Amino acid sequence: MREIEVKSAATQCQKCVKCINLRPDVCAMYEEYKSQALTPPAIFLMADIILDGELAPTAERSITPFACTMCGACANACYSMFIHFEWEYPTKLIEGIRELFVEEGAIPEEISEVLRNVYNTKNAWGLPKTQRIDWEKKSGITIPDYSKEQNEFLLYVGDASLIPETQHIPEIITKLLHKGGIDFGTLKEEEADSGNEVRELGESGLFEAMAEENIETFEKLRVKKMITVSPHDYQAFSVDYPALGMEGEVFHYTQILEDLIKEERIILKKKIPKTITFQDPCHLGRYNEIYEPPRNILKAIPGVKLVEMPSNRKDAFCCGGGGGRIWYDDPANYRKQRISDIRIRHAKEVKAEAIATACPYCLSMLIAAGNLDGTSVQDIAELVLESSE
Amino acid sequence: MEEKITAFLEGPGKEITDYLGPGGDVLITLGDSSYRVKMDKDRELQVEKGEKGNSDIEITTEAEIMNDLLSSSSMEEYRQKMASYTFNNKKPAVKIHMERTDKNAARFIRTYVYFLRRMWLLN
Amino acid sequence: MQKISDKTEQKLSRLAGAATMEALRNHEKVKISGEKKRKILDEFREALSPDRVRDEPHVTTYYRGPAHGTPRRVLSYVPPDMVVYPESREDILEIFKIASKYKLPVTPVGMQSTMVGGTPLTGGIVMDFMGMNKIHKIDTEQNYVVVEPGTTVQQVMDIVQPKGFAIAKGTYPSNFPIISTLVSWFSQHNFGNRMLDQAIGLEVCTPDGSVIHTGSMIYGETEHWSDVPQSAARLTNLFSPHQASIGVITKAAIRMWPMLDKTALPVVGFNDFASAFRWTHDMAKSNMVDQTMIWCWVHVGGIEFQKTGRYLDYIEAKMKYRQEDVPEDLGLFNCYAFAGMRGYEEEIDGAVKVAERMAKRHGGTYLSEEWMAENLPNTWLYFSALHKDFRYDLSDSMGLSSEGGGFSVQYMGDREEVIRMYEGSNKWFRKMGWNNWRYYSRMFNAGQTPWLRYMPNSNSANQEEIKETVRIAGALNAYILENYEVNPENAMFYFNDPDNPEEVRDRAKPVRRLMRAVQKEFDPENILSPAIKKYTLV
Repeated sequence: MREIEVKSAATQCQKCVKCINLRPDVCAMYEEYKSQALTPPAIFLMADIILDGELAPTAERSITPFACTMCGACANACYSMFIHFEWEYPTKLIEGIRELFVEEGAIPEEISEVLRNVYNTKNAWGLPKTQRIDWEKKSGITIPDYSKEQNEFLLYVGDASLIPETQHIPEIITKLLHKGGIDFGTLKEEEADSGNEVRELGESGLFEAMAEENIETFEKLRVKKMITVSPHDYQAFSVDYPALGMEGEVFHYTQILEDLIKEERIILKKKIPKTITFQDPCHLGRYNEIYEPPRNILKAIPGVKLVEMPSNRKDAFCCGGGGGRIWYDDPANYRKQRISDIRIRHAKEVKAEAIATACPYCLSMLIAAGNLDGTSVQDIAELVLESSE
Repeated sequence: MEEKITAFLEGPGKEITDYLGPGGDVLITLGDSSYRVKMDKDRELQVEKGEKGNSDIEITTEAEIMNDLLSSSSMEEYRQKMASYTFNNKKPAVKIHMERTDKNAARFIRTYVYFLRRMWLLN
Repeated sequence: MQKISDKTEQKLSRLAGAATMEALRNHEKVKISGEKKRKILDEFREALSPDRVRDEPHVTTYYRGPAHGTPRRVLSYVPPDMVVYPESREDILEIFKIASKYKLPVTPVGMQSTMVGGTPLTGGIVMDFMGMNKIHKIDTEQNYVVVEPGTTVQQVMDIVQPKGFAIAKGTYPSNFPIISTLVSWFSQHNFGNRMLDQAIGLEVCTPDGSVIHTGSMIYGETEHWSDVPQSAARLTNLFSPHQASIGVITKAAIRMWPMLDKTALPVVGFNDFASAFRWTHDMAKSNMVDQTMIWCWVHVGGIEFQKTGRYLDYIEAKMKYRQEDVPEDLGLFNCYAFAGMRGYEEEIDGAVKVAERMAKRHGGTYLSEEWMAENLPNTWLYFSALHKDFRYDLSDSMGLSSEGGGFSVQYMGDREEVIRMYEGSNKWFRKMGWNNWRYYSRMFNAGQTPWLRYMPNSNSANQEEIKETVRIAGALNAYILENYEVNPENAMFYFNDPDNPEEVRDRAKPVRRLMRAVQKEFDPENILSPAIKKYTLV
């Protein structure tokens, strides 16, 4: 974003604080710290002061914009500024503010490390690329190599293959796709990060470079249809990449599963008698308005009673993992409660025995909550597989 | 006239140009002649002869008035002149040709509102 | 351009209060050494609790002054050295004790909405009282509620509205604290026509450790708060938190307004301001009216068409039509006046009929609720949410356009003089190069106080535009004071400002003497907002 645009937008903030008070539990960062200094208005004020030249960005001050989970709930709640500046996605302004810090190299060390990792290893975790197919080796399944077979769909696995708590998810999804007769392949260890988090962290230059490289790969391989595991990658491929020239259709795996179930290509026969609630991933729900496919899947599973948490769909409360927070725990060091704990509490309020997720970050964050006490957290794909066997 | 417009927008009127968003497409009509001012997505300003229609917004005035405004050596001088024209009912007229959709309203705010304010055409 | 008189020329570059602003900017800043700072932080942590005392840069940056673009650019502030978060009266007294010991300035803040009050111009300590937000009492028989400095309007409304009550509020957001917005200002309240102030009693803590009660609470024993003068001195208004310079209000009894049977908000469209102003004046004289306002077409258009395709029509009209025109392309009247009513059914039905009759008398067009809902739905939603249904949660920020906040100046005086001022100001604005601007007006105190506020828009993100707007507001102020017999009601009109007429400064001298004596008695170390004290009335 241009500085003029950031400044013009940021000064529109009227500090009505609907972004934290419109309902209980709107802004994840604010609920975590309960501090006026860690709120969307605080981010805008910080940007304004810096752009006026009164203050320099520093790593310590960067806590303010980088503590944000980029969930977009503030944009959804805003009566003033955000309604006048429609952007491609809700948190573009905060991203533009983060760019101010990145340009000066004034960012938290944890974030710096992530960006270095992506640059060096094409993944945020700094892991060797061979680890992208560890899950495949463990599963014993042979997944087609898209670069050789040019299947109908490219399955873009993403970070799910690298986070220990979520490595079983690609295996499950591939089993289901296979069951449903979907012709798909992956890029194996040649898969490179989509760059969504890089962009959200304010490193637009690196993001564009990564995107260009990925688009070149997709063009070379004539990718026409893509399925993503993570909503974060879905966001990148369906919104940002087309602006840079990418063509083709992009789906989140829940959209595919929904169709397979509807068409009875996957039969759900085994009962799962549980009260389950669904955690809307911010990048699937609020960013891209995909709310029903996951719910339709859950409703189709025999025995499942679907209940809704207090803040759901457009108003869904964040898991706390977006915006780089999955790598940056407790930035300010004085948090009052974990973001994920708040969401578990919401689930308990509606007496859910399980929370179903459709995002590896959501799964990873909620599993690590401190107050699960018997509430289980599972990916939707796990439930579908369980019911279909 | 293209050179004059460019010289002003890249010189004393630079802060006006700073506020014209990428994709900006403005027609300046002086009698029978029209000039197109465009800002591409890489923020390169282009000024060329244009034709009526097809632009997002159109500014219409007498050639003499536009010449006077463009010969300002500073934004302060420009503003004084525009104030005088406003007072004397000779303020350039502005027409918005964009289709009246919600999306265009948002695009207009991002691309043109502050540009028109700096030109003292919108206040 | 028309030549302006020499006297006005002198004032052209300054807004009344600008000298004060400059002095405040240059006020001596406190410097606390590392070792001393650590000691003070430890003492605060011991007195309050460690998590309620913060000095991290990302925190102190936030507390360097108002968040709004325009005020922020008029003054540049310094961040405080530390921020403390009291949760009780005892906390506040402890904070004062430590601050007095080290002679550190203390700036109390809520949501940091005000221009000057609540800005740590000197560094030192900021006291954020938003965590002090209990509701102590709700009395639905005597119609008042007792709140703390961090209690917000919405917090109280959520409880009292289902019981059939509302508290007064202006156009600021409902998540702002009640005390700092209500107790200080007499303006901008939807019940403002009926009452000068909404606070009927206070509990105030001063830096010397005193706890002062005003109203009936001086008599102690019962918890019955009412606006009873203490030996004929009505002290509640002495402790204006807007300047926050004598003491910190730790409790306030705030008036509640019963909704009774019915509310109504008759709206009348006028083709000229003068007629609208006379209509609101006639309406305000009656006991049946809580408030009257006029909104100009520029403001109504911005509300009505924002975020729709017709916003482009609105912008086009703004560039074409002058303030005094009727923008036919938009189908708007020149201005819209309304009167808020609340009462028993028979009186309200009658009152609406009176509004219609008065509309005819003044040449306006009565616009029914149904007409408004159909033809100006967004405007009706904004008007009715705020002024008829008291749904503050709906009305926050709805009236704001994308064109940014600007400066505002407001004046009160005789009705016809204010009308003459409006007409003269139109010409004056035109000379300055303005086509139109926003304004609204109110009739306060049952028609005793006709009031008009001008708001020239500016892009609050642009320093040059703000400087220009400040210059214009200053010149307008000078022009108005020179040519019309009105009183300014302006946040920056400090009585000690050398740019003000001598007569004003002279008249204010005894008041300043009295206030300084009070301040000296209760804040002997001069710790509470010292910079503000030096240059303002209090």
